[in-house]
Amino acid sequence: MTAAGGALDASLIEPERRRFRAIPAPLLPATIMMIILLVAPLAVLLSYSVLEVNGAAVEGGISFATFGRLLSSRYFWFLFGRTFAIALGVTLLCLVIGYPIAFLITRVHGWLRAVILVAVAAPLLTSGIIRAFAWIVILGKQGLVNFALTSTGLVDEPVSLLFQVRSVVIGMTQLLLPFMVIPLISAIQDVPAETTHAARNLGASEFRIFWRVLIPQTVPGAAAGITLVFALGYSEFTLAMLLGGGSFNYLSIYIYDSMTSLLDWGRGAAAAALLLASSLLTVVILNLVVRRLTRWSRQIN
Amino acid sequence: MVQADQLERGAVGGAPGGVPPAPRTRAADAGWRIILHGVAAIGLIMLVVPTLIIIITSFDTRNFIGFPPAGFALERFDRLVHDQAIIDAAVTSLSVAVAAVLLDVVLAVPAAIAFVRREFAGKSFLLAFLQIPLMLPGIVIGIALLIFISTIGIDLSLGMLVLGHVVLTFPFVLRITMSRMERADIALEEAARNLGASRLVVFGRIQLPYLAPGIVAGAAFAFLSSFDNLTVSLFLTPVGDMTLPVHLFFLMRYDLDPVVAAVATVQVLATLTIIVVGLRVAGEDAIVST
Amino acid sequence: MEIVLTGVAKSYGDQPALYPLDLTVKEGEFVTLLGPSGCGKTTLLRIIAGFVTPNQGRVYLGDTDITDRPANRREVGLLFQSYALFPHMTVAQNVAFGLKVRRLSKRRLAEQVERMLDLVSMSEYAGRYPKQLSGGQQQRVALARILAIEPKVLLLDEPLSALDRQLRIQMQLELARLIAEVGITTMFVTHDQEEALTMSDRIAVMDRGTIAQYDTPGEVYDHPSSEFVASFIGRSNLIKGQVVPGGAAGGAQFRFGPHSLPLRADAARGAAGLADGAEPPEAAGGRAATSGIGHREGGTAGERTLLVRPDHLELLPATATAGLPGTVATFQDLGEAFIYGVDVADGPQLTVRVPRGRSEGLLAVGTPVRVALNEAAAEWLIPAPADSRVGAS
Repeated sequence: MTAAGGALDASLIEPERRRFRAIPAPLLPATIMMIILLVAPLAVLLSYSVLEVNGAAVEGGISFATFGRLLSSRYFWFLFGRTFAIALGVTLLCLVIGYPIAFLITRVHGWLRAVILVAVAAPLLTSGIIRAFAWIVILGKQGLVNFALTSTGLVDEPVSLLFQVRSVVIGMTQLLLPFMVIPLISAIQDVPAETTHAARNLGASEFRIFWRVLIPQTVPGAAAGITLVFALGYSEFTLAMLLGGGSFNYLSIYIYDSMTSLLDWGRGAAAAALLLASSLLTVVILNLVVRRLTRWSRQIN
Repeated sequence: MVQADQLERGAVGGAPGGVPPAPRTRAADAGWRIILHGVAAIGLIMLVVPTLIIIITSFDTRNFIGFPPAGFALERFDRLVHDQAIIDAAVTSLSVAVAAVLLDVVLAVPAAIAFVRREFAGKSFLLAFLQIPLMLPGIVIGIALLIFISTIGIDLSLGMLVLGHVVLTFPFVLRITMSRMERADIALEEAARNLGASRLVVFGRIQLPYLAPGIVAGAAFAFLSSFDNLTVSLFLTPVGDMTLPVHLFFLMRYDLDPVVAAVATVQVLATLTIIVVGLRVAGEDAIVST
Repeated sequence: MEIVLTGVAKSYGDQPALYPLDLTVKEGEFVTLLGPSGCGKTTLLRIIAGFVTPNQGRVYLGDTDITDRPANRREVGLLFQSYALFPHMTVAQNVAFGLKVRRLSKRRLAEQVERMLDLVSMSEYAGRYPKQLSGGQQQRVALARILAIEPKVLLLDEPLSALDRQLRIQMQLELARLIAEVGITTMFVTHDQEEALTMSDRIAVMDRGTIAQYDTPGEVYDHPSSEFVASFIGRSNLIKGQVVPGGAAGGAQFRFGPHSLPLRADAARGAAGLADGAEPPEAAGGRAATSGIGHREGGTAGERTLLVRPDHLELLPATATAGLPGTVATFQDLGEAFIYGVDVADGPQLTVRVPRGRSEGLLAVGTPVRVALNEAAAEWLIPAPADSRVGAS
């Protein structure tokens, strides 16, 4: 029998015994798998970039010669810049085209909405190869676009649209649009309707509402889309390879060549490391920019 | 064009009540709306047309790739069926994908349950860690594995390829299964334990049946990812035994064989079927979780 | 089988959920843990079931210490608030689940399932799935599922909360009958005091992690040990005043404002006997026949609170001489009775319950009336906090 009346002191209760909570057994296989199949290989990759490598084998100790070679090569910087520029361009295109699509989706309901969503998801139905093939059919000398242009008499000769930068950009835009649209849908839906209603009541035109009220509030959400699209475009390989043609070079293609035909694994590893690092850096900077923009847009409101 | 009755009430274009816009802005509104819808239309066309083109082209009769098709026949499909190299590659892709998905499920399901039901030190770190492959470019994973395997002296084989695909697709199965598990009713598990069930019985008779739709959805996703994968497969595929994407890749680089069109159509239809069936089995929440 | 808890306490981090408590439920008894949400009643139940590990204390089933046993080896049956029927199994398969785990032979299993379904009158539904059943039916299946494994003790976690009022009352009776028929020791958790009063042999009223009173329904209602218990069970008027020695019959008086009521000299129930939680003396019946105020000990002087149940009060016309003068301030029409709030002159607002048959109609706000104690009823002086004993065995 205990008297529970009177002062109720929490110290009456002994503290819980702290059982050491280690990683539960069911998680071990997956964790070990990841460590062996991802962490270890990545470590080896990194090591290949800072060791003396001849062909596919390690010859010597730590050396930054490979990095030196790369970073002092004008060609490499050109490649780097082009990869960056293309990724940025694709991102902007996706932004410009993706916003209206996302906006449309939020303003439409029922079966029409479902149809549009399926259309947005369509590129994801096909594999990279298939997509590249489709664009070859469309952009080739005997393809759809040229057919349209020549048969309507807009041009006399078929235009070369394939196997150059623009075909890669077009192909990537199609591939990456869904990744921009879907985050944007959430971002637009999160904007409180009252803000646009209020602007409407004040007599603002839709144009103004779109740019001054809606877009600034979606910036944080759009950031997700931007970083995703950029990262994916920056490291894209299949489309660059197949739509770019023989003379087109991209960072990922450079790495591929180093690893396979050129068998210069040290260079491939170093380039891959730089690819990763620069991608990460850009994403971080993008996020900072977005955060600055968000603060600025909040001040406007 | 968007039908008026499908426009959301109270949206930017149709807020009821309040001051109506001045006539000048109404014209500007219309103009802006045209631009907006126009760009969206271009985008949607861009998204959908390529897939349609593929299907149409596969019925072409000519010996080269072009549009519009000269005739409509099943010629290219016939060539496809007789192309042993492609069929072998497809079978290889299929087996690799199935093996990878099986391994994924075996690894991911217990992990998902543990993440949702248990608390332990470093939980959020481990969860992020197991999803790193999602953040890495495929090409990086591919060459890392290639270098690693050759360094420790193993030959390239389909087995290694399967392992590479497992790394790539594991996060999908994990996430989707976890998403399903998070909505599981713990009272059911407790009731089972109260009735005397061991943890194993609870897993097999209560949790697994509930998770099944989520597992199917995750497996479908992982399967498609593995089947279509090029970036990792390019580096890990053994010479004699190529997966379909790798085979097609080389095919397309050196000689644009029209049979690729037929392959493309078959693949699109197969993917569509898998998605539809997967959704049927997995139900609504599969869409939500992806 | 008896349930015995000694020194059981639980905290979550630095948030106490249960202060060290002892509790004994006798073999075959139906005990209810009653209290507002957050009082710890469900935590206590789950400690017995094995889903919560206490910081300290032991749990016994009969003579066996089950404190360290995992939840699946405790031989207790827990009925969940949501019933937790397995949706992918039929009724029969649900009921058979615990038996299957115990590896019963096919024939015995089938027999037991049939017997249980018959017991809860759900035999025709054996092949149905839970989602095809109504709430009441699901509950019966859940009960059958538990009883099938013949647990030593039955634990019920607010099983009737999900039901609508009519069904709830019906299920209370049915559940009580069924449990009595089976004769199993039962612990029931609820926040509905009517339910507790209806169904239990004893009630443990809980407040913020402790047991405020552990007694029969009658005792808890008539002789609550604290203001919390008094106001939690049924409607109450808690009048603050003083016990003052002197007055008629050499006893003491209860004074509030300018008013006073006599304390019976012979009403003391004797501190020692009752504080141990023993059965109240048979004189209880006799005492109710005389008017006056009952109390736990010999009327020690000091600040005290008097409990007057609203049904012990009557409303008399303003012209009457008995009772205290006041005005009607609020009213509620409950259908079977009216509930009036009467502002007593120089006194508190008293709640008075007037059965519908006994009045000529609704009194309007502002009507002057007189409030009088029903002569046949006995009031109760709530023990001063320092003197309250929480008997829990």
